[in-house]
Amino acid sequence: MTSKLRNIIALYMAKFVMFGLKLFKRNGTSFPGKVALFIDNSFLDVVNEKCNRIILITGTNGKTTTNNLINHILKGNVILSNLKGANMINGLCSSYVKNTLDSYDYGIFEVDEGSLDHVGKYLEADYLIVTNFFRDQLDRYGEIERLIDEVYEDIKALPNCNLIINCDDPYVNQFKNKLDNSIVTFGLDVESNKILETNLLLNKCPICSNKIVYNKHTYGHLGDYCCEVCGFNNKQKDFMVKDVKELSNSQLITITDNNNNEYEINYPYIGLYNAYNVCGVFALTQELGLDSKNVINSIQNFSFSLGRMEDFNYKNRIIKVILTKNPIGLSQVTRIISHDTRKKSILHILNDNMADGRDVSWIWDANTLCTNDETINKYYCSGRRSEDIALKKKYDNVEINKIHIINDMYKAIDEAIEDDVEIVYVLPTYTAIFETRDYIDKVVNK
Amino acid sequence: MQLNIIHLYPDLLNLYGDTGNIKCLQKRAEDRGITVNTYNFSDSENDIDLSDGDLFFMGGGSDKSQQIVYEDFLKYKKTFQELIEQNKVVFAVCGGYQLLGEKYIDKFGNQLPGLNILDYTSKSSTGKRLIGNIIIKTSLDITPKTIVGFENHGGRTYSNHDCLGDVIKGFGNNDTDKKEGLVYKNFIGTYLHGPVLPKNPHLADYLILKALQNKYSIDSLEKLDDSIEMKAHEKIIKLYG
Repeated sequence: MTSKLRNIIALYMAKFVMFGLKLFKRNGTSFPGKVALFIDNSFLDVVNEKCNRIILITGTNGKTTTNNLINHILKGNVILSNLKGANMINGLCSSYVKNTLDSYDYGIFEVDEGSLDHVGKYLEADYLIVTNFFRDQLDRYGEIERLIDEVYEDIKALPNCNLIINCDDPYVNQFKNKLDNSIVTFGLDVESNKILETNLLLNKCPICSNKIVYNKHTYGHLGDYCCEVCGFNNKQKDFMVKDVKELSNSQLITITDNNNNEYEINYPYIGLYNAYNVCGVFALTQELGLDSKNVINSIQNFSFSLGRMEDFNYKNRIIKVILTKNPIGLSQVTRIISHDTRKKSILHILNDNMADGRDVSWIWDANTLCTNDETINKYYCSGRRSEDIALKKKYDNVEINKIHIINDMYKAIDEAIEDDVEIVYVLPTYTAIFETRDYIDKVVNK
Repeated sequence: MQLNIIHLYPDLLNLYGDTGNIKCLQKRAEDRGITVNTYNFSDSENDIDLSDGDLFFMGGGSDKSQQIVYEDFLKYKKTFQELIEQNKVVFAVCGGYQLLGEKYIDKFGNQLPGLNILDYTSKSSTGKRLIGNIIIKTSLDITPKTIVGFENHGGRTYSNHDCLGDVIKGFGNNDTDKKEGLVYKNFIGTYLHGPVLPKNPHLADYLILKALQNKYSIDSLEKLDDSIEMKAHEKIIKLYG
């Protein structure tokens, strides 16, 4: 069989499977791709041929937001992308099965850190954004340093790819010293408020293993740092956020580039991690040669509907859904909640399905202590491992009668959104995010 | 009463939320009015006298971190061995457990020396990593008899010492003998993460009581409300037992 014929058979078999899944209202973001790859293991070759430019995004946090933001800015072009976050090779193939065209201006894909080797073999990426490396799903990937070594080897196999990297993460920035690719760096020059994040700072230089000293700290192990012995540091940033002003429902981000140009962007989502996302995307757009004014306009109009800080209005209150899937993300969300003075309830939905990671110990690496406990009406704990998150809240010294364990997530949502508060934070892990947002969407629009 | 906890290398051995074990020991002692002093002992801040400690905790870390710990802790090997012989309480999880043994044999057959505090050996295996929820039935004098947690280790440990418990679900020390962990005097080694102590409050109390009994004449600890703790404990048995 010729490879072209095999590819066509694979495509149509996968389309048939996708149609079947749709009939039964099942999620088709991954399985059709698996079918296609089973028939034609180099199925992605054709995607590589059809995309004029390929942009990949990898790292622990921020991939889906970054991908959606780039897609939003490049609207008007013909784009192939995995916007919903199915980021392993099956998901990438499924996106092509779903949206099959003769050619694309851009192929923009978020890629799971553990799948970059597989994807990189087929897709000749023009750009790769590396967001950050945090502890995430250690039961799947093993220890973080091993994962980073693998990503390093994967990028080494892509010598022509232009890298756009978050240099505030020493784990990521070490690529600058170790790889010959063309590299653009981005980062923040702002200090976050003091927050208790124990055990998250990096103590040892990833280059020489000696002590690293931080001058500024944004969150997790991100910040301005310098190795006392080898001098490894991130003082030079090609694109740098020099100021962030948090407004009530947005943040004003000031970015400077190498030529001292200054750009002000009012981004409609808060959180320092979003400032990183915006800066990385802005760096990419400038590398692509896009007009900065149009880009800024576009970023300011971005809205996101996948449960990443998605707001729903319900009976004079806001229901805010935020995906929380690893320690750093949960710590950052806790920080946002701690700054919110409104009367509120919080609903955690903690699952331990395969895609969440079977091991839920990660919640103990997160700072979940809300410093404004007096503004919090109730903490609802739901999902397969509701008791584990309830226990963590007990260790935050939350009064026991404020902790409500409701195993069934739909019942928990029903109860939480009726609370007499101004805002309800709903914080699901990955396998609960789509059902949660769809269910809330249905209830509030009834 | 006072309880001195020494957390060994918290900056290097801190995988899988194991610092939750320290929080648990602190909270459960403090909730009973016991004064807790926790000291971090590491390669950069080791001016602490180990003999002041009543209860020692050591977690696991990356291969690189464990190598740094190994080289630094060698200096304290003899002292630490004596402390174990004096019935001091030592709780070591995963990498910490492996590190305190005689040696670790890597996948190429190289023998990497352990701190040799006790005579047991861990071996890397060409087989898969042993990952998943685990339930054991312990031989310690505690109630309930079950201890639950999450294991995630490539190495297999073999020893002739008493084990912490028999494996009901999961792997344990290795994938053959269905034994989990090791108990020698008041030294307990285990592969259980979770972190293990918050949802096994009976094991946490066992460690606290043993540590206090070395200094004070007490036979039991005041009871605490462990309803959430036991719900988390029982959930694992329900889902994975």
